[in-house]
Amino acid sequence: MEIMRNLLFTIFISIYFINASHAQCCSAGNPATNNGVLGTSKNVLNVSSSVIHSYSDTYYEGNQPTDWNYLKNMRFNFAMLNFEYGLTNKIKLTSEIGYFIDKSLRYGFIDQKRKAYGLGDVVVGIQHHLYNNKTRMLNVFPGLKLSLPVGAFDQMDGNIILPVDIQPSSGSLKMSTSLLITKQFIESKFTTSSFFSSEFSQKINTERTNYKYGNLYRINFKVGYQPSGKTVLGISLNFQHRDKAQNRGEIMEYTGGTYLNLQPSISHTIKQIYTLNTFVGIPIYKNVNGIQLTNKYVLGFGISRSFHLKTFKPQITPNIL
Amino acid sequence: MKAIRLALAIFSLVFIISCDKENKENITTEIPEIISLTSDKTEIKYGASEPAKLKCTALGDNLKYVWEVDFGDLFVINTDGSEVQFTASPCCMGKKTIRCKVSNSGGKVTESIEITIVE
Repeated sequence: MEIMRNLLFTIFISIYFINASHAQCCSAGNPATNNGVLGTSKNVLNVSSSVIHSYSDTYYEGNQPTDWNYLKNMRFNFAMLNFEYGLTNKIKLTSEIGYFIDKSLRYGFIDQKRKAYGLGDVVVGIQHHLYNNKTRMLNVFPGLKLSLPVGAFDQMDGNIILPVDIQPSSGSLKMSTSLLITKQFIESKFTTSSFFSSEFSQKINTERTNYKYGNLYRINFKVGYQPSGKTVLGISLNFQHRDKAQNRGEIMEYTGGTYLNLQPSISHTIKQIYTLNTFVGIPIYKNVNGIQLTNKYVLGFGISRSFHLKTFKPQITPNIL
Repeated sequence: MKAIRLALAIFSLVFIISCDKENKENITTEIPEIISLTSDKTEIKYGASEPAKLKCTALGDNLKYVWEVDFGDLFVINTDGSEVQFTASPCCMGKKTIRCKVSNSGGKVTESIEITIVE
């Protein structure tokens, strides 16, 4: 049973999606991630830490590259800490905090760059193990997340307050709903999972801006292969569509788009305690509204560990009172 | 010995007075006043080919200039930060409000101007 649990950890801990379209315009705040770790039993705390590097340097007009030259490149190095706690065997609480070590852009028409760093958003969520069919080895997990803009949103560079799209925090309260479906096969080394999510942002209404991020819809499909008990190789296809943003009630025509990326990944478990994850995100299709800077690649590396927390019995029994 | 003490006391007094005077030179109770915030263009094309040049003219001592816009790019083009150049990428089309904030120890004042970014 313990071996089976560890196997589940290894398989599902590698369900790690990141969206590669976190490029130029209108995408401040934490990169959209989903760590679909399952198997967290009651009173089990799973802690994971990861670093993500993203680089964007190609302008697209529609679905074609263009030689438009405004920004030379944009990149970020983002560190993230995730906590997942099994409240019951069916309900899991999650939280995520991120820090931009370096978020910078370089202009193509002038030898200048802008750099920001600092705390991004804090994300809290809940996931429910709604359906479990042991015969078919099918599981369904709906989830809900709330993103709180606690980080830096007024960073400066010299005399300039940096624009919204390079600030570490999104500045906006966001809610995201998700559905994770996993399927295993009897006596097979393969496992599959599908992930659907949608994200809705609240309008930022300050003296500085009146802005609303476009809604974000994501579909991920992943196949995992376990050649040994400790290693899982995975490949996922990530589809993302972002609606156009709004500024002062007007639609920003050159924002949003549709993206498809391929994400190979490797997970390896050490001593049945630690799991190392690494992945690379490679865009394979982009169709943006108007002209936009798009992502070239994303790299990620993470480590996670589970802790079995003790449950403390009350010192005084109710009978005494 | 008394002479040394007297000399030290006089030196200290002179030092304190001079420091105080120096501090007073940097401290002002007068709030800055923005005389004008101007731009050579009210409409620019997205991209870097036709930037707008903005100038914030203010009265007061030890002024610090801070510029702000929600989307678009501002570049300081003079030493005290009172002049900037404004450009924007295609994403930022539409009306943009650019703010010039001028401050010193006496207070802070803000003036704004609108520039439209077109295709």
